[in-house]
Amino acid sequence: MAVLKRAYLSLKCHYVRTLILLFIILCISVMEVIGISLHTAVNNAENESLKQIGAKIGLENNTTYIDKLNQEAIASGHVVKQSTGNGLATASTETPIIKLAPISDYMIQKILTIPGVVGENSVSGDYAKPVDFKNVKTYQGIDPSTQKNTQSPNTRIHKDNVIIDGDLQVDLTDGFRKKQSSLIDGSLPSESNRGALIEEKLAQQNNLAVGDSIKVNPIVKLDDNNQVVQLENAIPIEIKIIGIYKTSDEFNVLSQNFWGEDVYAFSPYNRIYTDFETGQEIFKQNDGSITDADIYVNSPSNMDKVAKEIKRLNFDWTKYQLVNLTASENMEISNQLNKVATNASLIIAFSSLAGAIILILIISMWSKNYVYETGLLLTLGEKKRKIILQHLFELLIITLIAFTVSVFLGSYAAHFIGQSINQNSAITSTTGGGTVAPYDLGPNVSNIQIKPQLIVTNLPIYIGIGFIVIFVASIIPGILVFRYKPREILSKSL
Amino acid sequence: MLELQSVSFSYEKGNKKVNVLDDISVKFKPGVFYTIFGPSGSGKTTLLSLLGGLDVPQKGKVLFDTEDVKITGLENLRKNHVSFVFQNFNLFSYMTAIENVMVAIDISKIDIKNKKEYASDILQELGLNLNEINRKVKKLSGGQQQRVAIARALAVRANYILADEPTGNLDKKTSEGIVEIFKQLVHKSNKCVIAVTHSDLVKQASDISYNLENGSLDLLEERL
Repeated sequence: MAVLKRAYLSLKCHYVRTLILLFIILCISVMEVIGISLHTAVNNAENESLKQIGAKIGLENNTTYIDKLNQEAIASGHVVKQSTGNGLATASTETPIIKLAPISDYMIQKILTIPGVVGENSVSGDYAKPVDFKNVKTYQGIDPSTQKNTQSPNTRIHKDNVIIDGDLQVDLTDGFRKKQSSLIDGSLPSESNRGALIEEKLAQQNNLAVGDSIKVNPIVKLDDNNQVVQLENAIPIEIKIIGIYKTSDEFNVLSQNFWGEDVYAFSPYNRIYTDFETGQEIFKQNDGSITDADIYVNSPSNMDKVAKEIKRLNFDWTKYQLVNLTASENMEISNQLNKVATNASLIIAFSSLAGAIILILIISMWSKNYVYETGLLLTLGEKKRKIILQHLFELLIITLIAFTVSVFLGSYAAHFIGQSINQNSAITSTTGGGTVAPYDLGPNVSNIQIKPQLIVTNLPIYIGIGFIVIFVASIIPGILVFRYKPREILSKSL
Repeated sequence: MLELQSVSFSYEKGNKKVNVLDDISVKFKPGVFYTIFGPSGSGKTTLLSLLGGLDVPQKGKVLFDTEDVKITGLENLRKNHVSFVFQNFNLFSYMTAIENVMVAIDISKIDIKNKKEYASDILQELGLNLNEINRKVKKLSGGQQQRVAIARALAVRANYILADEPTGNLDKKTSEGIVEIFKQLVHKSNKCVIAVTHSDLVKQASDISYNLENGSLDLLEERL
């Protein structure tokens, strides 16, 4: 208690010194808060982004195996002059007709038993022609009617089409997983709840509601010989609307649009989700085969482990391969955020080091007084550790005030810096499709927001660093003085 | 009893070794007022520092009640048995007179119920009024500051008061007052005062005077 009282009296009486120290420690503390807040913000942003991107492994036909099938198809003359398959953005004037190796339900069930696997989704779908409704032609950017389709001018006309997206688990599709799409009425399609989920704008434009039905015609289908054929007079298929969703995405047409007006088919408002089987029925692919499966993993850090486990399963790996579908996106996020994280770490390290040096210098500047008091206390029989403790208390009292103020000041400054980073550096990640598209789909761009905050879990780090700095600043001058005998200390101060 | 036993102490001055204390043996008893004379640099302050546990001899021993203070602890000696009074008072300038005394009481941990009253009584006995007691020491006169320093020495109930030029910064009248306090402490309270001084006034008031020169401590006068 006597030590604390002496520390208090010393601070009170040397108020100029106290105020200077308070200012310096406040500056250091604010820097610490900024650094730690930014660091936390980066970690949170990274976690949030990775959560959004997710961890997804693709189980698909092996490219070597597909090449072999292609060569066999070309050799036997099995080619078609129309686009084929599930590739939504592909177009070809001459495509080999091949039958890919199916992924069986047995394979999926085996994969789902692996720890870390949280779900599986497979997509069946393609372009479809609306029969009793019209697609949405709302756009931003450049008017598609002023642009030409240079991609496939004579083959397919998608200007009035929609895309049918038949999923085993609609909630695992990118738009819903990233929370860019949300259900606003009805329910999501599933194996036990079959039907269509349409976008709000499409529903409003066509005066459609849950319970109504829509009719679509597929553009292509597989015939009985598994050959892709163009449908001219197909019988429309009726699907019941079981849900309406809203997307936050915007359909922005860019100058390099090479699809002309056909680009409307890619609009997020013209995407109709159905259950997997409905998708298959529309396109007559109801042989039950799945040739691509997305396997969802609980964390990006578990990707390798899960992939290894899948590889151990007794599948014919000459036909199948695993692809990390989120690696590049995760890497991109990490790389961008690492720059901010590095800067934040530098701020913390620099302010800690500079803080300790400045404090030692300041204390050294008052060394005459420090030595005098130390010598005097020694002549009175005070213990060395208690003398150091007094100086530690002096710094602690100042630091407690500085820490409290800095929590508010630093948080405000960190928030300001975070906003500035968000506005100026435009840390964004292109997620989703991954192809260079002539249009800018909302779902493909997610902004990473840096939200600096000093949370309870950060406080021990902050306080810890602060105490280390103060401890060092108190101990070092003490060590320098206590090298001498009390008589020498006293004679130095006289 | 505080005792130097065959104590030697030297220091380097340039390339020359200066023996300030050379095999000195001397005993200091309670109830006696000692003064140590000697030219500047003769080792008077060194001798006082060794007696007060601020330094240790290069040869020989410092004994307190026949025990080597190196073994019983220099800190213990300073805290419980000896007190210093310096020429320049060595007070905490930012504290009041009473706070200065209370700091010493807190460090010594002597068992006193009302420390403030105890410190105030001592200061008043030494001639400071209540107003002066609660004033910052830097606003007190030299004589008053030296009284505070003496009060601090008395407050910890140390039997040996080691005074280094206690009247060096004081005028004659004030010096007489301080000397009188020392005499009363010795003869009424059975304290031992060992004063290093150049002052004849202090020398004449003391019971035993020594002269320290060329490493040797010689008896000058004894008035017991």
